[in-house]
Amino acid sequence: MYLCLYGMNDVALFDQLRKRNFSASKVFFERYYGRMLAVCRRYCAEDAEALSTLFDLYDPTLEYLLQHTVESKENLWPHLEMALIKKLILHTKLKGASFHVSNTVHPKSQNEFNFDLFAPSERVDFSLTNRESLLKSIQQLTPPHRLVYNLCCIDGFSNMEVAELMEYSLDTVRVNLEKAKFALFKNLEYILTHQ
Amino acid sequence: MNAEKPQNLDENRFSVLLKNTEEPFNASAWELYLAFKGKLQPNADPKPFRPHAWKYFEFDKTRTLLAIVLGALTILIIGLLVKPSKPNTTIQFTDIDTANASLNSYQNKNQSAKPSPINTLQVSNGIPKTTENQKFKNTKRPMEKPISKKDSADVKTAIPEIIQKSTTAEDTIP
Repeated sequence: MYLCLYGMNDVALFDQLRKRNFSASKVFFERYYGRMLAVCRRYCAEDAEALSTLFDLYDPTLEYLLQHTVESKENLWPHLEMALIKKLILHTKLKGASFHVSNTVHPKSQNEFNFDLFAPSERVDFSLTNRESLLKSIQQLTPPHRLVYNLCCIDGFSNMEVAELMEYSLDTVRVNLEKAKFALFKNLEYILTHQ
Repeated sequence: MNAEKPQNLDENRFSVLLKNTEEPFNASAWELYLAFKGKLQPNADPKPFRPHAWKYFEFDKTRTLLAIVLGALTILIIGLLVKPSKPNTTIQFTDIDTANASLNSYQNKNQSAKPSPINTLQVSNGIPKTTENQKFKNTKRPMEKPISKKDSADVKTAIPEIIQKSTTAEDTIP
């Protein structure tokens, strides 16, 4: 029975999850671990935090999925991603004081204090941007900026949808998105020049 | 905030770089997850398939013990707060004959067992019959006066009342 679960498609696996099968939960976790961790990495500040957040949110996400997913179970990943994003938004907002700490640039030595946020960036070749550098620059954003940028630019939600998801006003989302884009370019510029 | 967007920056490529990506699979991820949740049991087989949810019910010892202790405490507090009402000490006889009959039966019963207060008074005022009284013949006894006829008559009327009270409090009258 346990080995058969690995060969099941999403529909059969989802039925087993509905019956609270512990082995099915394990198979489901191992099947979507990589994708879920990738989502958590771009919504968190560090890789270790992303892993602990994934462990924290796996149970509530699965519960949310079981309660709200009724139709179209052939491909579970879009539903699972949506549930995980909703839980990530709540998790990020519940962090309290750390949610509002601003940290656009992290200087590491005394010389690096001279990094000018408003200097022209013509010399930087952004075509060299790879996945890791982009992920690192997103992780360095403040939590509200990171949330808004991920939702609007990466996950493709409209500003109105983001405002509903985050329970913000539309203007707040717009302002946060502009600030997030500016901070992201500067972070990326810093990372690319100091590689 | 007035910095212009770099011309060679392609924002659309960012979503392609990060959307629908997958991290490498970690074989020990499930064990890490169980350890993180505090559910790790080394070399434990996965739970068997159980279709019915009610079978997952587990007896919780701490909650049951807590419920028992709380229940006992509430019963104790209620028992202390609600005191039993005092029994009615006065009995009203509707018939004089039944009252006298019960009183006489009580007197007869007690007289056979021990001497009545009237007899003790008579003995103390009369000639001592026992040898023990002879020992105290010459000693002074405080507050020992001969009872006059008037007093004895009062005592005789008062004693039945005392007896009646005792009967109403202690004995049950048929």
